Amino acid sequence: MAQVMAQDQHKSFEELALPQLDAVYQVARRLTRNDHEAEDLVQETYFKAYRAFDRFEMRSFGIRPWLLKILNNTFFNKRARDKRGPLATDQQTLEETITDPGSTLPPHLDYEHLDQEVAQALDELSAEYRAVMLLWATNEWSYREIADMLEIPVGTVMSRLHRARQQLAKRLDEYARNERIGQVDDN
Amino acid sequence: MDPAELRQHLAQYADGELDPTTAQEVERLMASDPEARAEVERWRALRQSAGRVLTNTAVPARLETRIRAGIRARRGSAGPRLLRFGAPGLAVAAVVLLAFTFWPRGASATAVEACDFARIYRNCAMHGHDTLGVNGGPTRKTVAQLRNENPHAGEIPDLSVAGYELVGACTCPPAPNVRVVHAYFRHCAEGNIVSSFSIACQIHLCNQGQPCKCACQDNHVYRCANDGPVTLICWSECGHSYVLACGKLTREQLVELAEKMRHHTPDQDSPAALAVSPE
Repeated sequence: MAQVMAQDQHKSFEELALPQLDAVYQVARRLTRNDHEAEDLVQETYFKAYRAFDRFEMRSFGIRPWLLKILNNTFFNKRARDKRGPLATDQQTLEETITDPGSTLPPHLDYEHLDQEVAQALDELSAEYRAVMLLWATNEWSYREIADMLEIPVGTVMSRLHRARQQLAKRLDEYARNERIGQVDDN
Repeated sequence: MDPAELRQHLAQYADGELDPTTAQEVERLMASDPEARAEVERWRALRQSAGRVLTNTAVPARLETRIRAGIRARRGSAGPRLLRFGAPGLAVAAVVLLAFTFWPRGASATAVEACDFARIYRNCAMHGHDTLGVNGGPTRKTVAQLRNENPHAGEIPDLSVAGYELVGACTCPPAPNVRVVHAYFRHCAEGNIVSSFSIACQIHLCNQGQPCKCACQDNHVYRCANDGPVTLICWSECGHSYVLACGKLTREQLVELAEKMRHHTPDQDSPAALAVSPE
């Protein structure tokens, strides 16, 4: 890994960052829920990253977490500006005052063929929850790394993930009921 | 931990986030409790499904092209520039100004003289075109940063997609009750200067084609012409040619106009050369 990192240090910004375009765009697309906005967001992210590239130090996971960190910062800054007001004073404080949604287990469903429902459920989450879920969904990073990318405490990642998962489970449970999909016996 | 407590940690176990001791306890529970085992599998399946949703999105082919072009333009900005910001007397032959307005439906128009824009430009030049501190820190601010920091900067257009970098911004009203944000852009590769005036009301331009008789005692002749949604005002002053394109424009039109302005020379100030699509 150290050798790879040393080699990477000599690569140009394009060589390192452009292969990550798919992953960065995919997060942007689901975060913004809009094709045009996602393109603008990714473009701005890359230009910012390019300008700051001389200050980027390679870390164990390469450039992708850094790009995603810039992407999330850019997205939430723009969102705060568009709202033209203070952003929910402190999202963490706000979350603490919300009653825990309780415990819902993911229903017995064929998850291999449920992507459309999961996509809709993701889109219905608040942007803060969605940002955590999208990084979690890549299956690449620990809670600590997600916290680093989003610049929030690990505890906040865990609580947002818990609540977001509960919302997803509830949504899928409703889907199962509406579709009259019967309970499968696990035994 | 008792089984009920351990069940609270199944999702974290599925994520591989439990400490080794608790993970072993969960594994013992799973060995004896099929429902706990099934729940862990469902949390994993949900995560995999969310991952598939994410990766199913295709990247538009044009995006990489746009980013590569933008990076090339930014890289080019380190080289020699045709026009230099801060030394207009030496190099600037033409200054291009964009004015765009936005206003609530039904709002009445405020009269603004063509020379008012020239006055704003001169006033802003006296303080380096930058009272909002774009160049104030160790790194130049982007439009997004500036908007985030300053409520006055909300209407500054982002021309980075056309290769322009923000180099200064200030607020100078041309008339009472007219709020204007003046932004100063430089093309990253070619150094061209573009100024934009974001005007938060409907304006009515006066003295078209006539010598200016307004309060600023400006005796320059402002030639004006309309082309679709854009009114062009051209004048010369101190060896510089100014072209102001003014209209109620969408963001896309503004970027398109800025792109056309890049290739503009003082001899090409006909409306046709700068025409943009109707709104």
